[in-house]
Amino acid sequence: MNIRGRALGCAAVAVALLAAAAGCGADAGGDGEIVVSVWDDGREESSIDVAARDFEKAHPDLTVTVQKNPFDQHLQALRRQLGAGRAPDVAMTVVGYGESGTVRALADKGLLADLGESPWAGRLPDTVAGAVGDGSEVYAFPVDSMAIGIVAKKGTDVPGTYTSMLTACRDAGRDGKTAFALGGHENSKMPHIVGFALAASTVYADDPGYGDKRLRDEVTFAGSDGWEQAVARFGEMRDAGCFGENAAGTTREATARALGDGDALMAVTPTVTLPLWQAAAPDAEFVMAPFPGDDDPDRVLVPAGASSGLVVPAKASDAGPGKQFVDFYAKHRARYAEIDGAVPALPDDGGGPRAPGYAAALEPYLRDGRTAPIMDQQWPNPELIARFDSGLVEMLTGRAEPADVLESMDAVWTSEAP
Amino acid sequence: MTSIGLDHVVMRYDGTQAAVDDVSLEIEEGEFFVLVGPSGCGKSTLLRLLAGLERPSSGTVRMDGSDVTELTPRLRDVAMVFQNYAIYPHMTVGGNLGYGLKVRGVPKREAAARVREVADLLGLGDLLKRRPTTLSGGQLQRVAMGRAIARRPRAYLMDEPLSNLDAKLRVSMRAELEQLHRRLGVTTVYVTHDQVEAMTLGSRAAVLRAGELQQVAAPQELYARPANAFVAAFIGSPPMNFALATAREDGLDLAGFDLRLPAEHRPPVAAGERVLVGIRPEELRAPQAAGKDACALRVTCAVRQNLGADQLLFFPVPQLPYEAAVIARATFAEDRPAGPAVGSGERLLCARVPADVSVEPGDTVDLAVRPGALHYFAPDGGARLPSA
Amino acid sequence: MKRPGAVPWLFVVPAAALTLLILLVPSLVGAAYAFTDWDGLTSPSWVGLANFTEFFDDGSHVVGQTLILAGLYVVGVNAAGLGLALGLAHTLRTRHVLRALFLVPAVVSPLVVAYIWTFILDVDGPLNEILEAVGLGSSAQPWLGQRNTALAAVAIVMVWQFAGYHMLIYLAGLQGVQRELLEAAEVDGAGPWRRFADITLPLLRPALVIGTVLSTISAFLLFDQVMALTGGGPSGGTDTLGTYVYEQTFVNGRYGYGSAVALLLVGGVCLAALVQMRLLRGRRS
Repeated sequence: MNIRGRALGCAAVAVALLAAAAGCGADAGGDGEIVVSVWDDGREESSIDVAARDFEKAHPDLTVTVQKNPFDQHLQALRRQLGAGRAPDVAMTVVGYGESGTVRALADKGLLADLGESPWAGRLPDTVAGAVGDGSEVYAFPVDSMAIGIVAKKGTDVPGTYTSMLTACRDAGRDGKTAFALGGHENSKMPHIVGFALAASTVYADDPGYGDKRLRDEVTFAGSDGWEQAVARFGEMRDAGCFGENAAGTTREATARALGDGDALMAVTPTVTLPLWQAAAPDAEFVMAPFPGDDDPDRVLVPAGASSGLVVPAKASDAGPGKQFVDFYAKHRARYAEIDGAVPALPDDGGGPRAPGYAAALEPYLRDGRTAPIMDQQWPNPELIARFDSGLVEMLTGRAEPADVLESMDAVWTSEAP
Repeated sequence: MTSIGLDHVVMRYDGTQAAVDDVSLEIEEGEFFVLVGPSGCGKSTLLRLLAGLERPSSGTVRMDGSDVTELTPRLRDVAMVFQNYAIYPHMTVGGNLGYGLKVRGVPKREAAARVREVADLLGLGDLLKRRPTTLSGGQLQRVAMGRAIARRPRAYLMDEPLSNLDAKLRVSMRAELEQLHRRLGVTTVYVTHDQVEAMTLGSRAAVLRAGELQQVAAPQELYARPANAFVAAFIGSPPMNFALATAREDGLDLAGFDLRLPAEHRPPVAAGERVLVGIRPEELRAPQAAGKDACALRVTCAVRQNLGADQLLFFPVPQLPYEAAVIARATFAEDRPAGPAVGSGERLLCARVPADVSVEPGDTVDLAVRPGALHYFAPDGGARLPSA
Repeated sequence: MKRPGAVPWLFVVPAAALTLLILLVPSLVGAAYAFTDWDGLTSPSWVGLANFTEFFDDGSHVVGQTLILAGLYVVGVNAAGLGLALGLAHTLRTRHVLRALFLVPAVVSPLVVAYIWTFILDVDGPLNEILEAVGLGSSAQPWLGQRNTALAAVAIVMVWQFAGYHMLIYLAGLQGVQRELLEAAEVDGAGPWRRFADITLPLLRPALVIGTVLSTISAFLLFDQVMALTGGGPSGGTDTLGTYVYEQTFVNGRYGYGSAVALLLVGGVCLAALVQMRLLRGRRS
C-alpha cells in the first residue's frame, strides 16, 4: 500500500474510533439517577431545586440532578437531546404549539410519555387540556400560568373600554407621550401580544371554539370576521397614535426604558414578563389590568392559559422515575408556586388566587372563566407567529391591510407541526 | 533646455544637522554638470530639490531665471533617472517609455512615434512588448534613460544611474551617456559618488561634503588646483599622498627628506611652521622623467602593485602618531574610503611609475618630484595655501 | 536523505481524523439531508428536489437581500480599508497607535458589536439623541425599523468592525508599492489621483483579490450581525441566507429544508469566490 493509501487508512480508523466513542451516549440518567432539565429563570433556588431535594429525601435510593440551560436555548437544547437519544428524565418546556420543542409539537412526533394515568390528570380544566394534550391524552403537567393584559405604573389611568382607550391614546399624544410602548423590532416579539389581546375580545367572544376549528381546518383567518375586526382595530389604534411614531424600530429594551421613564404610559404584555418592566424602573410599582378589547364589557376576554409544563420524554429505558418526579412535584405544587411567586396553572380546589398579586385586576376574569386561549398555543407551524408579527409591523408602517396580514397567515398554516 | 540656479538652498530635516547647507550654484544651458561627493554628502538631496520632490527649508531654485521653488515636479518639466531605475513593473517597456507622454496628454500617434524613436536610439526596439521582470540590469537602465529622453524635458536629473551595473558595463554606458549628451544637448545634472565618473563625464563638477560645497570647477581644475585637502584627497586615483612637513628657509623638511625648493615654490609659511603637503602619486617619478630641478627622494619599496602599463610602489615614511590624526582631520578621512594601512610610526606613500622601471619589494628606489607639483594646505582645516 | 519515519504521521493522522469527523463527514451528511424532510427528531423521508423548488418559490427575496448586503459590505469595507491603509502608510507620527486603534473592533465578537450598535441605533438611543441635540431632530428615525435604513445599518456596522482588518491587508499590499515608483510617476507628471490609479492600484492587485474574496465570503455567510441588529426584520426585510437557514432549521424545526438552503448558500459562495478570483487576477504575465 502506498503512502497515500496508508494515510487514508489510518485516518479512517481514527474516525471510526472517534465516532464510536462519541456515539456511545446513552440516555441520561438511569440506575437511580433522575435528570431534570429546566431553563434558568435567573434564580439560585427555583422551585425545581427545592423539589429535587425534597424528592431525594422522600426517596433515598434516587438522586435528582437539575440541569439548567439558558432560557433562549433551552427548547433547542431539549430537541437536540431528544434527537440524539440523550433525553433527560423530566424536562420543562412550553405548552401548546409554538416553537419546535413545545409540548404538542413533541407529542405529535411521539416523543413524550403519556401522563394520562397521573393522579392530577383528571383535574385539568378545559382551558388547559388543549395545551398539554390533544384533549384526550395528557403529555405535560402544567406548571405556570400566564395572562395577557396591560402593564402600567400604579396609579395610571387605564382605560376601561375600547373607545375610551382610543381617546386616551390621542390625549397622550397631545401631551407628547405614547400611550402604549410597543417594540416593533423583530427580536422583541411584542406586536402579536397586542394582536392576541384584541382577538380575544372579537374572535373568541364570537366563538370560543375557534381555535379547535382552526386546527381541524374548518375555518381560515382571512375568512374570520373576528380576526378581520381584530387586525382592523390594530390599525385603528395605530391611527389614534397609540403606539407612537417610531414603534417599528423600537427594541424591547427601549420599550422598557420608555415605560420606566414615563415616556410611555402602558404596554400590552404577558403577566410573566413583569420582572422585565420592573428592572427598568426598580423604584416604581407596576400593576396589570385587563385590555379593553371591546366597548361591551361582556365581550371583553382575557387571553390566559398555562405557560410552562413538565414533560417526561418517552425513552427506550424506563420512563417510570420521571413520572414519579412529576407526580411528586404536582402533589406539592401549591408550596412550590409560593417559592416561585407564580400562580399554578392547575388551580387549587381551595380557591387560591389565579393571578399574581400585581395582576389582581385580572382575577375576576380568570375566576369566572372570561378567558380566551393563548392563541399561538394552537398554531402548529412556528412560521405563523413570525408572519403575524411581521404583518402587524407592516401595518404599523402603513404597508399592509388587515386582509394582507390574515392571508399571509393562512398561506403558511399547517395543522401539524413541521 | 534650461539653465538651473540654486540660491542659498538649505535643507534641514528634523534635527539640527542640515542635509544641504547653504548651497548656491549656477548650471548653464546644455551643460553636463556633475554633483560628486561621498555618501551622505547631500548630493541626492540636492537632486531631489531640483526635481521638486522636496521643498527646501530655505533658499530658491531657479530654472531659466524664474523661481520654481514652489512648483510641483510636473510643472518643472524635468526628467529623472533613478539609481534603482524605478521602472513600472506592471507595464511593458513600451508602456514605461510612453508613460510620461500619456500623463501629459501627448496625442497617441505622436507618443507612439516618440517611443519608437527613443527605443531605436537606445537599442530597445525589440523589447517594447516585454515586461521589466524579464530584462537585464543594463536593459533596465536604458529603459530608465529612454523614459526620460522620450519626455523631451527641459533637463535630465540622474541619480547614480550606473552604480548598479558591473564595472565593464559601467565603462561602456559612460561612453554612451557622453555620446547621447553630445547628440541631444540637454542640460544634465548627474549625481555620483565615483570620482572617476565625475572626471570623465562632466564639463564641470561640484564636490560636496556634509551638505557643503567644497569646490565647483572643471575636472582638470579640481585635479590640478584643489580648493582644500578634502577635494585633493577625494579627486584622483590612487589618492594624493599627504604628509606633515616643517618649512625651512630654503625648502621643506618632509618626512625625513630634506627638499630644496626654489623661492616661488616654497610654502607660504614662516620657517619652522608646520604645513600639510600633498603629492600626487603620478608626480613621484623616476628621476630621469622628473626634470632638472626636481627634488630627489631615496625610498625603500615595501609593496608593489602591477597595473599593466604602470605600477604602484608603496614605501614607508616616518610619521609621528599625532600627525596621522591631523592629516585625517584635514582630509576628512572618515568621509573617504580608507587609504593604505598605517603602521605605528610609519605612513605608506604611493608612487606611480611606468612598468618598465624594474623594482622588487625591498629594493631601494630613487624617486624625484618637481617642486611645482607640491600642494600646500593648512594643517588646521585643510584650506589650500598658494605657494609664496 | 533519511526517510522521515513515523513522526510525521503522528502529526497528520489526528488532524486528518478531526477534519474528516468534524468537517467533511457532517457536511456530506448534511448535504444528503437537503433532499429529505428531516425535522431533527424523527427519521427523515426522501423528498427529492421539493425543498429546492419551495425555496425558489418562497425564499428568493432572501437571496436579493443577501446580495444587496454583500454588495454594500464588499465595496464599503475594501474602500474603507484601502483608505485607512493609504492614510496610515507613511508620514503620520501617530500611525502605529492609530493602526492598532482601527484594528480593535475586529477582535471583538461580532455579536457584542452588534448589540452595542443596536443600542446606539435604537429609537431613543444615542444616535437619535445626538441628532436632536445638534438640531437635526428631523433626521432622527427608527433606523432599525425601516428596511432601507436597516440594511444600510447592518452594512455600516460590519464595515465599521472589519475595516481595520482590511486595512491590514492593504497595508501589507502597499509595502510592495515602492516609493521610488511613485516619485518617478510624480516627476513624469502624474498627479495624486493619477498616481493612485496607474501605479498604486495595479500593484495592489493581489491584496485586492484577497480583500474582495474574503469579504464576499463573509457577507454571504452573514448571520451574527443581522440577528442581533434586526433579527432579520423589519418583516424579514433584512433576512439573509444565513438567518433564513437558522430560522427555518432551529426555530421552525425544518432541518431538511434548512439543509437545502444551506447547500445553495455554500454553492453560491464558492461560485462568487471563483468568479472574483478569475476577474481580479486578470492577465498573468
